Amino acid sequence: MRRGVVLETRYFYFTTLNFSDTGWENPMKFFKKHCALILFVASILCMAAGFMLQEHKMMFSYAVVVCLSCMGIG
Amino acid sequence: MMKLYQRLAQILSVCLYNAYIPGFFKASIYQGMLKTIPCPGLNCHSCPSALSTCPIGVLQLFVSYGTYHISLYVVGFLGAIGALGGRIICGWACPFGLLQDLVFKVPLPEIKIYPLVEKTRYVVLIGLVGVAAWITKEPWFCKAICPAGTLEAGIPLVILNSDLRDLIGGLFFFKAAVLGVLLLLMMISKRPFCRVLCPLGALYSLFNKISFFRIAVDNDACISCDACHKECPVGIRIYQEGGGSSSCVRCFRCVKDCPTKAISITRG
Repeated sequence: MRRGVVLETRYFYFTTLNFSDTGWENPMKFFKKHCALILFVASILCMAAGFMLQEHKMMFSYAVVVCLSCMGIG
Repeated sequence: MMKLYQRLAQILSVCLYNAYIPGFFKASIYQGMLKTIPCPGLNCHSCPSALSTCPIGVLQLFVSYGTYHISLYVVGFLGAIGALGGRIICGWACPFGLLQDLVFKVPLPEIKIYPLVEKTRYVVLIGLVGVAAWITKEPWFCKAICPAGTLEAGIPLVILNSDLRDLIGGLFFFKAAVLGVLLLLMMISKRPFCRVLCPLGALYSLFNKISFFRIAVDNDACISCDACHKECPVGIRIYQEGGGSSSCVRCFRCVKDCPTKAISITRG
């Protein structure tokens, strides 16, 4: 009996939530609203992938030598 | 007050990016582990005092020689900054932006840059940093244009290092001429390099409309007094172009100077 009450309460809570604030009812609206956050997370993942692929080491070997192109010599 | 904070942040960023002072005495560059971190602003890593790596240089390196032609590490780094604040680095933490702001203080009549000309920065980003570097395997932006490289690396190292002095030729003088022309333009126009040529600014400006921190303009409260335009370091009218303007460098001076508080910082 008690279990039924809890479930019923949860169902009631679920139906009263206002999903329009988050834009869940419309995926495009949700994407537009949280675009910056999605891009930020994607960028962090992209950066982590680059780090795992040892890109920072290639970058290091490039940056510790004087770049003659940057200087306008080579 | 906002202008003072912005100036302090710019000076602090220059000091942070270029903290390796012994480089000038040794006539060489820093070779420590901090070079594994890209610099968020335009700062040449061949500058004797530079601690971090130029992101545009690395992008060109990967386009030319990388196995998948794109540096995920640098694109992710720049994307994260762009997603947070759009061109905020251009306004607050770019050494070349600071130079342009200071040079514009020379009292000369101002000339306007047409909005269409400002689109050239995308041509530089896609054409020089992307396609030309991919096809020819040469960093054409660094080689032919980058005034930061000439000013921060070329001139100091040529003065300090006699071996490098013997190597200079026509290309060095061409780049020095590009720097000279840009310095002249900086005196008569607001941030011409940022607006017309900077590929890093072009990359950040893609995020201006969607970044987490944005500028919002309340058109009902705006009285079109042009106070924002007068203070703007890139000379835009934010009430006409909107808060997501790709030219806006997010210095937030307009937010402070608006007499009716029609301009505000929003997030979301």
